[in-house]
Amino acid sequence: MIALPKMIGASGNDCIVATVTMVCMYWRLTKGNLAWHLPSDFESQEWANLFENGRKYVRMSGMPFNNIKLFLRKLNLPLSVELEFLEDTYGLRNLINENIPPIVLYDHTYFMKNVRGPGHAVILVDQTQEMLVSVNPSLEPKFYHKLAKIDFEESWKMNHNATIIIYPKTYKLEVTKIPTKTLMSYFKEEGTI
Amino acid sequence: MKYRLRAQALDEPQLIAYDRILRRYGSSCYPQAVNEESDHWRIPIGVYVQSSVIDEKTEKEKIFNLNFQNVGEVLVRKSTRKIMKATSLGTLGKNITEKRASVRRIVEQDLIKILGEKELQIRFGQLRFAFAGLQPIYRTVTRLLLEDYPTYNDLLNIGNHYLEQVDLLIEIGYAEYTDQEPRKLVATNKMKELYWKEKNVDKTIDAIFGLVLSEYYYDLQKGRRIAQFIPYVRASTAYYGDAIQFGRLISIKEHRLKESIREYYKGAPAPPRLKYAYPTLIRELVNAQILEYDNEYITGRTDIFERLLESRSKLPLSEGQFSFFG
Repeated sequence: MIALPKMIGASGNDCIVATVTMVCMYWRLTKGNLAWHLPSDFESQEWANLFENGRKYVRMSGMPFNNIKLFLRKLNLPLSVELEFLEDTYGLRNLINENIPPIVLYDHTYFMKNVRGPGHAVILVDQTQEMLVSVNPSLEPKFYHKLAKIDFEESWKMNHNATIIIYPKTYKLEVTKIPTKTLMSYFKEEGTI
Repeated sequence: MKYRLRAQALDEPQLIAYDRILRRYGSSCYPQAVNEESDHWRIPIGVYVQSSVIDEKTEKEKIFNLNFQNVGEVLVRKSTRKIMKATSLGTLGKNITEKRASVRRIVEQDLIKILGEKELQIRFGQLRFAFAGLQPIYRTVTRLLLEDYPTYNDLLNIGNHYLEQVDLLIEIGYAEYTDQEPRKLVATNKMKELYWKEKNVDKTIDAIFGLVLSEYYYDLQKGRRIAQFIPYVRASTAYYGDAIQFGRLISIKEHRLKESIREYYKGAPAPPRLKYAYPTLIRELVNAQILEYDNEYITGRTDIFERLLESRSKLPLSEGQFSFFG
């Protein structure tokens, strides 16, 4: 299980800022040898400012990914950030296994009620055969929320499996792009298999 | 360290549009159905805007999603599968603000119509600041009820602004000019009947104010620049707007109502003298029987709320993912 050093509560569109801040804190703790100019004390004012400054990048329509990039670049953190539409939950499983906490954007309203709603950001920190364990900033003070894999997959699919990956600049992420329609899916559409 | 990941290629118009949405707008937006056109796909954008309402007495908060469609669009070229054209973030923000204003207008218009209903017996005369703006109506109705009929020239000599408001009384059928010279303004049977029913000058004036307000609020505000009613209407709309979203009357404190007004009318032009003391404004709304006090809280009237509840179905509303119960 990935242990996040500090939980940050947020509601509405601030969920992305909270998750990004929590993941930055995680890397500060686990990769202390990188060129950080932020203290290791997560209760310090610098970290509080980081979250508050991040909120300035939130718009009525949510926080654009480009703003997350800009925000992290301005802070000059030794981290890279990517937005990817993963192929499936195996990708998430691999990231968790490699101790890289993925921020997933999924339709929480659909997950809860089968009704479409806005994309919601949570951090995945662990998994079992049937469950994914998430840290949900909107569920303060509990934070931890177990998501049934099958239901999660459906509601994550609503957001095209969107995932934000924040990782140290010393890592290299190689992304293989898979066509959304495979030969098999054409055969399935035709009903030949 | 090297990590390998498998991700979907951006080869579907919906996915290309969603990638653009997440990168430039945010995760509250979503692509609507794809429209195929000659050399490109047109993908309209919808957005979920969150709105939260708190009942301070029961410490209960509900978060709602307002679903607005067509707040922007993305055009994807078929040959290259690249973005051809897309709404800018600034324009998208403006479109969302406009859509929010349309929701506000629905509630405001319905509330104004309801407040004009005679059965509710709203005491408009208690709204002192607004009253100042409608002095010509007040004075004219008082004179007519006392059978002191002014001539057209008398009214004209006072000023055009005076005559304009008198015209409103004529338009709603409560006053008319005589045919003989000198033309005099007289009360119609409608006004006499109303006075006979109310048996009180002040109550008759309240009822006439209600009618004028419900019929001509926007005209008074824009055409005749009588803006004194605006703070009262905004405070009432913000309260009842939140209450109908919540599904029942809520009890809030003064500072919360102030915040609700600010939130509800975000982006709307500020009315003159918005800072007109809130405690006074609220007390006058209570005296006028539009709002009520519930000990230290402010609440609404059940009959107004019930009449307004129909407006809820007109709102693009769905209850959000999180409802906190205290």
